[in-house]
Amino acid sequence: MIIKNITIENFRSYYGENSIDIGNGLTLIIGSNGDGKTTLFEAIEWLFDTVGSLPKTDYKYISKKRISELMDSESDYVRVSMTYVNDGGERLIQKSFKFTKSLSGEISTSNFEYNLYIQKGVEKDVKTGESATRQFDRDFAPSIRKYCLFKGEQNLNIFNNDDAMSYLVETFSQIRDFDPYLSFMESAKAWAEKATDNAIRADRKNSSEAQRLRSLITGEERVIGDLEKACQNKKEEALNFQTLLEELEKNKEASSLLVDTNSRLENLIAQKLQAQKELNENYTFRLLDDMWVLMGFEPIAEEYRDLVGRLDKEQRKQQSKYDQEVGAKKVIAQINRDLSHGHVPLAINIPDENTMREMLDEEFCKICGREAPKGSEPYLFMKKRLDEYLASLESEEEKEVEVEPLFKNSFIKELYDRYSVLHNNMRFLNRLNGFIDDAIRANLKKHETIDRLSSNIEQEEEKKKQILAQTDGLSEDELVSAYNNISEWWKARSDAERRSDFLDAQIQKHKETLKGYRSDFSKISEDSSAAMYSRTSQAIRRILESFVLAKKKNKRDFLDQLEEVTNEYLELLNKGDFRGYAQIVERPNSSAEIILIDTDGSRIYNANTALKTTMYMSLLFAVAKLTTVKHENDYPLIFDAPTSSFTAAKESDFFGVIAGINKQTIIVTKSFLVEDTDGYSSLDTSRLGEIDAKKYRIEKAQPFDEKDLSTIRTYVKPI
Amino acid sequence: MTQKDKMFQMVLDDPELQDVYGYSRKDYDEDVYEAINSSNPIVSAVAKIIVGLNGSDDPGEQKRVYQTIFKYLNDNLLV
Repeated sequence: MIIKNITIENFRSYYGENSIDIGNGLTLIIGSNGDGKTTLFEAIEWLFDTVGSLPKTDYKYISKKRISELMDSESDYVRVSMTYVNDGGERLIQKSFKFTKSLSGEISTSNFEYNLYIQKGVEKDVKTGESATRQFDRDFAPSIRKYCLFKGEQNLNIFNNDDAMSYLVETFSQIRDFDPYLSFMESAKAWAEKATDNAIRADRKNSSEAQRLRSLITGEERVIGDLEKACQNKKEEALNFQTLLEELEKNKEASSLLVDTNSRLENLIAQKLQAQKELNENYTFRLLDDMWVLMGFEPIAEEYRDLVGRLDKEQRKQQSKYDQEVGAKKVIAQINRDLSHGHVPLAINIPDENTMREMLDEEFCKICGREAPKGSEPYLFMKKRLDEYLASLESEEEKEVEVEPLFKNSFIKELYDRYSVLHNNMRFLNRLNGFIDDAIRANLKKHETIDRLSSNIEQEEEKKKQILAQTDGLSEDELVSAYNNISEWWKARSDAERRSDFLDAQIQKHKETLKGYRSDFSKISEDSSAAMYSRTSQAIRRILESFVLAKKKNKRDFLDQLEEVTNEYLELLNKGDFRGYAQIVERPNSSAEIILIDTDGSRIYNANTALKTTMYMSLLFAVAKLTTVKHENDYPLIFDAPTSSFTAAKESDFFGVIAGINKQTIIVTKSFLVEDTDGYSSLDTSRLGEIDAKKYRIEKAQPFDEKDLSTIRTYVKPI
Repeated sequence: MTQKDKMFQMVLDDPELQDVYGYSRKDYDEDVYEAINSSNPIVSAVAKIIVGLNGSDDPGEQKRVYQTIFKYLNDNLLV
């Protein structure tokens, strides 16, 4: 939407018809205090009011000069109109009413009209009343008008208000586009869950368990919702107090005592954190991980050693006795065999095997010198001797295999081996008591250190509160009150932080529980005939979660984009005076705020008015630019005197930059005026000449009497 | 890229949804209307929701879209 012309007729000090052609870029309307700048702005506000927040007709709107000229029963009109181009065509919006002077000199108003004319070729289409209102709202939406029209610098501070930023973000980030889908997904989730529950109810096997789980799931979801709200509130509270304290601290930055106190605090807190990290009181884990469970095991180990030793000794005794018995039986058997012929037998290996085989082959006994033919008694005796000898070689092995072992298993050996291992570790066990003792003592010492550090930290924080409370010019009572306030904020912040940490932990716990219930429910439903519905219901729930995430991301993306474009304008408008940047932060309560950050990364709390003004204007330019991109339509910005805190040089730079921005901007200002000794304001044409803009001067026609409104007439003339 | 395409991609960018339902960026790197015929049921379902609902908050319209999606997921979600 591009404004082409604004015409004001008989509206307050604007006597008769006053026409202002507006340029596509910057239009400057320059006037001194009381010349009619604010009245011009008010006329535009009255024209743009489509909701009835301003009176339609009012005596105070009427030019008193025009009233003074009216004859009895004569009428005239108050009119404010704007010609603009929208959707490629020219349109005119006009608000007007008639005023009539009665015979008694009373002024009455009538014939209020609100018309919108749409040029269609050579013809004009007219919309009136509600129809005109609706059309104008379509051409120039109220949500956008809110950010296009600003009266005075104080008005720019709308962004300090939570609601304003939220409104801005919601309107221009199009996160509202997500709302119908989110509402749909919530309903879909509920319908799908109901369908699943109904199906499971028909499945008698799982029905009661499913019902129980569904009830638990609903309960957990409710609890989590409540906890999240409470947690968000606490975080917001903590942030508010944090901001108050930071702001206070920033104002005290110059105090070297505060700087040193902060340094000491930082150091003490770091030491405390380190000591807490070094504490290891996981005694439950150490019982098994570090084998502390064996403490006092020594007497048991010794008793074990004695028992196993005795067992082993007894075993060896019994084995030895058994071996002896078995060995003795063997010897006796052999002796008996040898003694069965009445004489002491030769040793079994005399003569030796070779001699015996030789004698047998030769059939001759070489010991007694007799013939021993095969089958004869000497031959058979020699054969038997050889056989016995050969048998004695085999029979010892056979007899070893055949002997039953006394102890079939090796349990005692295993017990003994176990003792050997234990014996090797006894050295560790002997020192275990010492380890445990040292560990506990070390922890106790750490606790003492932590307590001492905590006490020191508390003392330093108290000192810091006192420093913050010190303000020049405060009485003692006021100092005490300031100190008490600070102490309260400090405590309130700590309490809020602790509570939000606790709530966060609770939320995590409940989320784990909910996950468990959902998993159990899913298992039951998989097992039932409603498995299909259950899977669909789960999928719908997950898609809902994705929509929620997408909405959050969309908002963050918009804020990032807004921040980036705001900083582009901020840099332009400050031209090297300010090297920091603006940041748009999201607060826990989902609102947003714009803050200034210095080059060292710290927040600027006490920015001067000029810097704040350029910050807000940069934000407005950024909003307008993004709106243009999103709505494929441009909107003008109309400001009333935003530069009253600027120096002359800064003003020139400021207007120069705005003139260079490709955006229709109308600024009503008293800049570029120089007051002479007679109190008359004249234009500083040399400075003005440097600005590429359409320029107008508004001023009161001379002579006039300030006390007599009927003598006042504002006129507009192009420069 | 239209607003619908943007919303469609933002929803499907959720890494957890990708992980559970086994699709990746290449499965939805197209406009939302084409994605209605995707072989991945979740990609297709989200496309159907965005296109079918078309930003409407009319309860009748919402119920109709729900019934379509519910049936579609019942028929196509694999175990």
